[in-house]
Parts: sequence; C-alpha cells; structure tokens
Amino acid sequence: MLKEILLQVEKPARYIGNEINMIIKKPEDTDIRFAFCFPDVYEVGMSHLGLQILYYFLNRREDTYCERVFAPWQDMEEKMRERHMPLFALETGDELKKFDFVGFTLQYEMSYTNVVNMLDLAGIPIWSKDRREEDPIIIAGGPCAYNPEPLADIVDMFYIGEGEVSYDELLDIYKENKKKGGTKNDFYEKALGVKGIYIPKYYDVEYNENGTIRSFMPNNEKAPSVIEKVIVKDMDSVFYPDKQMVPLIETVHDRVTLEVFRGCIRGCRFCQAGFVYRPVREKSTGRLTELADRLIENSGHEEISLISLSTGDYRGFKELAEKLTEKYARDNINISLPSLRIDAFSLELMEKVQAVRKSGLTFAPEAGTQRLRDVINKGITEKEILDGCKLAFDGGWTRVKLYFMTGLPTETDEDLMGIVHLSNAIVDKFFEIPKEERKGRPISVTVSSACFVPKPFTPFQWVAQSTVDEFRRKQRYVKTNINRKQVKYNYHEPELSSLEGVMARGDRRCAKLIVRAWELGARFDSWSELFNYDAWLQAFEDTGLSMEFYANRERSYDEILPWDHISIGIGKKFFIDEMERAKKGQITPNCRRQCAHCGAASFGGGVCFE
Amino acid sequence: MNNNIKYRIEFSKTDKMIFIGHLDLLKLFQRTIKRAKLPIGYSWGYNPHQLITFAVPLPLGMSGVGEIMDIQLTHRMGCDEIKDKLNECLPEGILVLQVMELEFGDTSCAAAVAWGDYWVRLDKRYENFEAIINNVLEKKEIYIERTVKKKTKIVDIRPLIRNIWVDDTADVTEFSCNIATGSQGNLKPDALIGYIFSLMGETPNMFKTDILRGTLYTEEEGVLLPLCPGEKFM
Ligand code: SF4
Repeated sequence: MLKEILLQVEKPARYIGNEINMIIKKPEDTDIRFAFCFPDVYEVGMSHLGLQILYYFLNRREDTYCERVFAPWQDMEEKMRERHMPLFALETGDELKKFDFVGFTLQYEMSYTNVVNMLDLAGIPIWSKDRREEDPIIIAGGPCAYNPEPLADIVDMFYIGEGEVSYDELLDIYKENKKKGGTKNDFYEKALGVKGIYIPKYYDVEYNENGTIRSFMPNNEKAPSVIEKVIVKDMDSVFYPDKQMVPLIETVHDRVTLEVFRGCIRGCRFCQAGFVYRPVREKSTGRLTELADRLIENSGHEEISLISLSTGDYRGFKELAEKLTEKYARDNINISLPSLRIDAFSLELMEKVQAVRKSGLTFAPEAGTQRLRDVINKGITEKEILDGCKLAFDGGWTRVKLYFMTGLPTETDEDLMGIVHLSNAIVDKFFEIPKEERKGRPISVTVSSACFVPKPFTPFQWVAQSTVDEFRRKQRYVKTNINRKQVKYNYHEPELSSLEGVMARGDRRCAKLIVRAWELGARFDSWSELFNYDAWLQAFEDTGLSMEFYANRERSYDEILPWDHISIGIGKKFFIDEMERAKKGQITPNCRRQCAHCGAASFGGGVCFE
Repeated sequence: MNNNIKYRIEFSKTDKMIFIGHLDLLKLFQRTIKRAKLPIGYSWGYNPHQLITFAVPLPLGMSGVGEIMDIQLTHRMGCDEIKDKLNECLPEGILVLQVMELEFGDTSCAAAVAWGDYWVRLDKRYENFEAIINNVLEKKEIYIERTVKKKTKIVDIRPLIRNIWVDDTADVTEFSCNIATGSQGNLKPDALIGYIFSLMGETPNMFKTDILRGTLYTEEEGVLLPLCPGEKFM
C-alpha cells in the first residue's frame, strides 16, 4: 500500500528514510523509543544541524532508539488521511503511538500548526489534558521553547536549553520509572527535579481584566518557580557526531556542517539567538579540524560548512580557515562560510575556497541609517559596507545582497530612505571602477527587507510591533523611492510576520488560536504558497483573541511577561538597561571588547572567562 | 586521453530505493565512491566531476536487478575489492552484483546498450491476455502516439519489441518482454503496457503495477550480449 501511495506523491524519498548513516536498531532491544519530530518538510529538517546532533546523541545510548519524523507535505497528508494511515517514523515505519517520547524541535513560530497536524495525523490527542497513560509523552525544545506558553496546553513537557546537558538524566529517570511500573505522573514529578525541564501543568496562570497576566504560580511544591536554561560549558569535550545522515534527495543544504561555536558576542538588540545562546563558547581549532576530517570521510559530501551565528568572530578563524583550505582545496571539497563579515581577509578566503562561485555577497546592515543601527546595536558602519563592496567589486563580484528590517523601534521615514541611499551608494561605488575594468559586467543590488518581530529575551521584548498596514506603507515607501534600475527590492509578507509576532510573545491562551487556525486548514504557514491568512483571521474571530493585544501593544517594564518563569541567565534589569540605551542611541560593546555584565557569566564558562 | 582504468559495474536498485530518481542515484554513487575511497578519476575543467556513466536511467518506481554503470579509476584495483568496498558503503536496496575491468577502447555502456529485459506484474488477472499478446507479436507495424520533448509524433514501435512472454500461472497477470532500451532506440514499458491495455479497451493502474528491469544487452550482428556478462551472486 505504501508503494502505491508513494508513487503518487511528489518526492517520495521524503518518506522512506534509508539514508547513509541512518541508525538501525531493533526496537525490541531498546527500552526507550524516541520520535524526533521536525515540524516541517523533510528537506528543511534534514538540513538542520540540531537534528543531526541530537539524533546521534540519543542513539549513542544503547537503551534508546531515536527515529525521525517530518511533516508530510500536502499531497502526502491527503493520501494518508484518505487511507487512515497514521504518521510514521522513517527508520522503522512504525506509527508514533508506539513511542515513549514524541519530541518536537521548535525552530520557528510559524511551524506550530504543523506540530498540531502531526499529532493529529499520529492519532494522538492534541491537548495534553486529553492524553491517556498509553499515549506518548510530548516533549519540545529548540529556540522557540524559550517562550513555551503558546504550546503549553499541547506539549507535556519542555526542554529549555541545549540537548546534550539533561537528556541522559531525563531518560534514565524515565527508564527507571517505567521498570518500576510507575505512571506518567510519577515520571513528571521526578522530572521536575531535572534542570531545564518545564512541565506546564504544574503551573497556574491568572489574568487581569485587561488581559495581562496577574500571576503565574507553581501548583506543585516540587515545581521550581523559575526554570533555568541548561547549556554546555565545554564545547570540546561535549558529544559531537563524527558523521551525518546523508539524504538521498537534494535538500536545502547538501553538505556536512561543522559547528564552530555557540552564542554570539555581538548583542544585536533584536536578535533572540544572540541572547538565549549566551555566553559564546568555542570549540578549539584542533578539535574542529579533527571533526572536519571525520565528517567528510564518513559522509562523502563535497562541501563543508562552518557555521555559527557569526563565524568571523571565531578567535581561531584565520588559522582554521587556512588549515581547511590548504587541506581540502585540492580534494575538490568546497568550504562554505555563511555569516562572514566582508573584509579583505574573508574575500581572499572566499576567492580561494569558492573559486567558481562568484555569485553573491551578503551584507546585513539591518537598518538604513547609522542612528538606527546604533539603536539596534548592529555594529556595522556605512563605510565598512562600502569598503567591503569596493573590495568585492575589485575582486570580480558583482552581485550584492542587503538585508534590512522595517518596523524597528524608533524608526522614521528618514531611516527608510537610508535603505535607498545605501543601495544607491553601492551602485555608485561600482561605477567608480573605470569602464574598461568593468568589462561589461552588470551590477545588481538586491535589497531584502524583513518585518521586525519583537522577541522574548531581547531588549525589545516590550515594544509594539508595526501593524500589517504600517509595514505595507513602509514597504511601499521604500519601493517608490528606489529609483536605480540596478536595485531590486524584495520584502516579506507582513501578515506572516505579524502572526509570528503574536506567537513569539504569546501566552497560554494562544493554543486555542493555533488549534483553531489548524482546524480551518492552516499548515506549513511559513511556505508562502500554502500560507492561509484568512484561516488565521477567522481563528482570531472564533477564539476572541486579538492580534493587536499580542503583536502591536507596548508592554510596561512591570508587566508579568508570559515567559518570566524561564531564565536564560540574563536578568530583566539588563534588558531594561539595554532598551533605555537603545532609546538614546547608545551602543553596547561586544563581549570581547568590554563585558556588559549581562549575567551569563553565571554559567561559568565561555567568553566571560576568556 | 587519460590513463584511467575503466570498470563496468552491475548493480541492483530495489525496495525503498526505487523511490529515488536518476540524478539522486548519481549523487548517491558519487558520495559512496568518496566514502569507499576509490581513486575515482575526475573530468577536467572548471567544475570537475567524477567520471561515472550510466547505461540508461531507471525510471523512478521501477526496480532493476541488472543496472549498469561504468567508472574510471586512476589506479588499478581488484574487481572484488571494488565491489566489497562499494557494498560496505551503500544503503540497503542498492547492491553491487559484479565488477569487471574493461579493455582499453571498449564502448561505454551508454553507447553500447540496446535492449533490456523487463518483467511486469499487473494489478490483477486479465482474461485472454495471452491471446492479446500473440496478436501484438503478429503485427508487422504498431503505430502509437509518443510525446518526446512536448512534441507528439506517430511512431512505429513494432521494431522496438523483440519478444513478449506471458506467464499465465500466477493469480495476477504477469509478462516479460525484451524491448529496445537506450539512446539508439527506446520503448518505455509504460508505453507498451498502455498500448496493450488500449487493445483491451482498459486503462492500466500504473500505481499498482510492478515493473522490474533485468539484464541490459548490447547487440552485435544481430546477437544480444549482456553488457556485463559473468557470474553474479545475489
Ligand atoms: S557576562 Fe559579559 S562576556 Fe559574558 S556574555 Fe554577558 S556581556 Fe558577554
């Protein structure tokens, strides 16, 4: 039957597993079955480093079999529902109900309807309270779990922090409890003592009349009032897989990925990742080169990607880059360096490692004027960008991509005009090259503007997000003012960003909204061809919740925020200070320049002790 | 000109692996060859690629038990060693059956292939199937519409059919055929099945039809020779 279905869907290999380096175990020889669910399509999920790490991390335990599950694409869902075929894991093809844990990784807010859909396709009750003893335990982690509340009535337990730290303890407790014949509740109560674990049902929320939170209290004496994130202290000794699953079909990134460090020293005020992964913790160059060799050997990939939030900030970057280029350039192995700052060194390097691909260079000024860049603490100047472009043009690059955001706090039309000016200045830079040297190559500048979404655990967590109409006006304003034919303007859908804004700072009541939108057909919201805004608008209406309340409302510093019971090691005081500095346009130096005493030093490692 | 040594590889593609297409199969072999550390030869030029040639792509959804590819290595290796190293690194569903060293100047498999054996298992039993096939084989010409690169042409497919055998013993209808396969002339089994069904006044359910490709042949003076002759252990 499966064959018949698979012959009728797009890219059937999404559903067969069987990749190189897939782990094969006999489920009956293990004690714990863990279904690792990525709530998006196969090609996206398989390109995700966290999945690869946790897959091998969990499978390194003999008593645990971790398998993978992805969101079936529309055509497959249709066939599955027609035939009442439950959602299955790729490794064994077994349905999710047979698993002890069903774990979701929450990488972006707009995947929440897929979480609901996957539970439903698996025949597992959507609401935590409706689940029975024999249903799997639903656990979720990943960056969006830092504000777990929108999914708090759906997910049984959240894991706050990096997977390598507490999973062993959690699984040991589970196994022992299962052996002793303990119930799920017995397990939950014991799990309350594990660092980084948040179990929503042990907390009660009360609301004020105006809709804000009045109180958030544990209802079980073992439940900690604040759940602290757990992070790896020493990146060299922590587990890292020496192989990666190699998909049988083309995915978003067909390459091995080497994680250079976690965290970011920069402190851009809009960036959640920059704060929740603090402090910066690096791997040593020696460890990285050793891992690189093994990964390439075990995967057969012809590309290796060095990733982190800002790879150029790695202290051993020069050494590492030179070592790897020397080693691999001859071997037809490409080195890809996303998130690099453009300067003379990095250009020279790119020239070496990506000889044939003089495609595009990317800059992320994020804001159009120096004033606004200071507000968001994006430490890049117009001069740096123009100098970088000049170098790039001299080196033969002719395509420049610029990333901006609209709707940033304190933004005015002048800042929006700044986007236009900067793009024009880049075009002018190009035409400064004497005509003979340009050799008829055309220049193109692509300006991409995203809609700013205020995120929890950033200094901007209190600000009002622009409304859909405001975003539209701003985009039109930039668009109308772009008057050079070499400049192309792209922008994100403000409707999607607004919903993201709702989910990012949502509270427990938002689950109703997610489930309602799903009932009305919302799935794969981050895929523009499937995004169904009308379903969401209807869901707001049906649930009586308001987009304005969650997205477009400015909060006061003393309001209880839905995620206040989660701690990332950085106190509210620091964020308030940062917000105030932002308003005054004062920048805060990066961690290596001068420590801002954010609080993350309490984790006892990383950049704070360099 | 290069001093590479050429090998012909016969392999099977079955089970779950029928769901990956030809380009993905090529990629899989490229990676497998790297992982197996075979001294693969590369083409020259800006974007060097491994020197691998397939006889003829196997359509997605079809199994194959006599698929052929040629590779070039920069150093000589034992045929069994190549086979074992590849099999160690290949995922389930793809298995190297045999490897042979080619003579200098041998035609590449893609140029040599001319005929292929196919085995077809239909979705149910069809009465009088044998009579219909006999009727097909008696015809001197069979004109059907074929669409190649969005252009529809009327072509005679009779010369592309060497033989069809019906197996009437099973509870669903099965048949085998030997039909033109490769760049010199090609008849897709789907097209043949479509034609047979049109004679019966029915449309086939291709999603429930199993097709397996067997041996691939070259033709020398009217005689069919397997592209990779020799013993294989399955
Ligand atoms: S304590 Fe200082 S060095 Fe450490 S993360 Fe915070 S600002 Fe950076």
